[in-house]
Amino acid sequence: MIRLSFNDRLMMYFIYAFLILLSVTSFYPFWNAAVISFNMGSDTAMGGITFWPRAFTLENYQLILKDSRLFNGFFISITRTIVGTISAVFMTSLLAYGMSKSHLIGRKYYTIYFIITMYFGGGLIPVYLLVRSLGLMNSFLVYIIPGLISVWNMIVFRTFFKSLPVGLEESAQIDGSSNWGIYFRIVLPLSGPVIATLGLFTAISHWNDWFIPTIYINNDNLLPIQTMLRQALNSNIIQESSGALDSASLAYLQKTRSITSKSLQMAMMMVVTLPIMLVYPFVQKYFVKGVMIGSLKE
Amino acid sequence: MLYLVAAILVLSTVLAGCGKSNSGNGNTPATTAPPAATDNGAESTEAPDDGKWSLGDPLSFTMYSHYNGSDFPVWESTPAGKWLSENKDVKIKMITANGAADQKLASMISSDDLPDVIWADKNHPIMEKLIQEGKVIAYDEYLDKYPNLKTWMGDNLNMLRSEDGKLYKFPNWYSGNPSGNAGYVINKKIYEELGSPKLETTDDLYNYLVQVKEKYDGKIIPFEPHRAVDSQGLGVLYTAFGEGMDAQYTFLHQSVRAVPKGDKLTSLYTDPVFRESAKYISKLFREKLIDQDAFTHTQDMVKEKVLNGRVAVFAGASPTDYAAEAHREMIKNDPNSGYFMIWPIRKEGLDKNKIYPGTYTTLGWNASYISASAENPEEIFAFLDWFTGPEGQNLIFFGPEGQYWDGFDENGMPNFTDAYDQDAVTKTELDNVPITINGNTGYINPAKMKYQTQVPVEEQDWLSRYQSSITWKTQFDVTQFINLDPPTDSDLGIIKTKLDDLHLKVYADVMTNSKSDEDVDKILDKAEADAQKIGYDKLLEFRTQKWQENVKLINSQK
Repeated sequence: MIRLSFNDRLMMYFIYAFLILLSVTSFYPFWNAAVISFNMGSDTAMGGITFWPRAFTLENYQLILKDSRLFNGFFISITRTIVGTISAVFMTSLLAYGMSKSHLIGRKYYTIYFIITMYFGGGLIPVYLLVRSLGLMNSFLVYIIPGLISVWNMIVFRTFFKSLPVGLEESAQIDGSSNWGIYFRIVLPLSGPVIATLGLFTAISHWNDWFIPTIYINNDNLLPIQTMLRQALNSNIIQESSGALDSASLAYLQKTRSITSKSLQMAMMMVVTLPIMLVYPFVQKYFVKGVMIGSLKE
Repeated sequence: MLYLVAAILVLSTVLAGCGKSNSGNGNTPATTAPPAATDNGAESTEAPDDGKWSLGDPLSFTMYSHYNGSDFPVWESTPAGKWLSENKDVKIKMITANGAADQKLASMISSDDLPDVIWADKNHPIMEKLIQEGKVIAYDEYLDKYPNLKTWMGDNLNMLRSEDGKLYKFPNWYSGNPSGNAGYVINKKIYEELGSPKLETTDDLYNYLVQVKEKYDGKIIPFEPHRAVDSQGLGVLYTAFGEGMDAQYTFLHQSVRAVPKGDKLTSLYTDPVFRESAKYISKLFREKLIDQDAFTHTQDMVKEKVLNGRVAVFAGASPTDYAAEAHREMIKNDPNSGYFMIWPIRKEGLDKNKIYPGTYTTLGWNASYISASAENPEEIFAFLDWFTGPEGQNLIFFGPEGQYWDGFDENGMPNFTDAYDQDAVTKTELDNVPITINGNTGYINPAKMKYQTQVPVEEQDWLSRYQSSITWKTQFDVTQFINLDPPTDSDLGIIKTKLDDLHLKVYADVMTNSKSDEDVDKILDKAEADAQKIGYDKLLEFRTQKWQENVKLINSQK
């Protein structure tokens, strides 16, 4: 073991202390939200909830989870995240692979063609009309198809592919491998970090998305969990505001339950963030490598 | 690796395929209502008359709530919706905005794919445009055929008519009865500890606040005005300085922001009553008798202060929301604590029966519009009309007939059965609230009161007691001041926006920054000059004209 000088050790303590403080400041708000989600809403309104619930309750979670349709929502969310991520990563990387070849005819024009979409969008209504005329309204496919290609991710992929040694592909070619073979057997297996990174980003955006179902889906059976939880929150807000007008309902609400919109929101936050957070540990090892992609390449 | 990728691809294709077939099934009911159900119904034995829709005829349509903060729940997830769907074949497919109401409606409008019923603000600019473009239908031809709305709303319906004289809005929570909870709430324990002094005039209030400050310096906020940026408690204090139409909470609101003098709306900033109240309030601020955070704190912070009993006097547009809850919690530990309401404060010399801290309008909150693309507009209107009538309202508030109520008495009120259970009934009501799209206050309040009157006073809950003894008697009908806003994209609309910005600055400035009464005058003089530069006069002229039209309409009904 290397012996550290006093100064070095001092510095190290300082760095550790600083980093611990930093992680506490980012972790604490989340912890506080968790505490509030387990605390009675009426008690939370009195303020002063910090590290531990003062009046423990599971009521907030009971209200959220009592809706049996929620599991359908979970299924939709998970399915769209898995299917959407795999297909988007596959399609985007395939495009990027082609675009990484300098002998591709018209590559410059394709690039310009793609780049334009990064700066200019059609806006909501043209996109809506397009989606509608493609027959994607009220279809599960609306979660998948419009997001298949991300130009940004394509550029990251392309940069990564370009950095792979050309020799690998050439030797595969000499051994008689087809383009597909090279892509599947050489390029993809070497692209673990970039696939994990972009896959994670894609998965998170799929999981968090509530806007697409809002605009394009009117069928309850196709709604993801995010949308359903929002609806549960809304109806609680409506009940609360009606309590303000009607003395009997106010008294009843206060007597029978302690839920407030705030406590409900916190519980929802827990329900929707935990599943996607569980993905992180699995891709962590790639992730650390992955974020460096593109930094020194090209 | 190749196999793995291939397997994944196959899987994704299969799953995507599943999705497609699902959606194929789900597609039809979601976007299109089935062909006019009543035609069939009319041929059947149930409805032998002239094709008039009656409950029991199958009906289905789509409905959409144009609010970011509230979507309709699944129809069958509410007790009333479930009952109607299962027993009466009335099925409503809800379309939700999930917080993106503007985008959702815009996309539906642009693709000419409007829901059958849109539930939105009464004067929402988009709805006004849809009316102009003929995208929603007028109800006039149905009003006599299905008479509930006409019966219960009466001639007030005229106030809802659009410029072409037709009625496009089916109102919600319309009423002829006063409602609202604006006023003053007092912390009981502190009041008693200070010897229960007289609290009737603005001088009494001032002396009381000084006493609070002296005794509890720093620990208790003498006067808590809720969120002062929304006027709230400061607006309530303003009403103490004028009787009736001299000072109304609404006059401070951005939808009026003027004071009526004769048949003209005049500037708020030159109004002597407003100036007098501003001087009083700024004095309280200077002497730290008003919560110094009043212009910056959030609702949660206000609530926390009230729940913890850290305020001596709490005033606002509806202070009872927090106070009722706080009262419940506080008396658990100490039966002698809690809050109570007082009769509104007045300036010495004014008539206490002519002071109105709060206001109400008779036209309700918002409205349902039926889209011109609906396939069965008459049936939909007929259902809405049934829903707002006694039967529909009783279903929402007391459940299906036969359980807690059975039949009607001679006044048309429900006869409650022995099985009546207040908690169960309240739960029914609360579960139905999200789909109460056309509440009929004029019917349901007396209906509820019919039961409540049988309960002794001391068992009545906190809020009911003060509603019946104080707040409902001290709210002022300001229906004549509705719809005074110019179109947002017009020149006047731009003037209005500028004035709103100016007012917020002036209001905060005059209340919190003036060092003396002269200062108040100075700030308001400058505000008046600035406002006139922006075009306050033009806006006042426009609003006077609109207001006079309202007055004429209301008077013509009497």
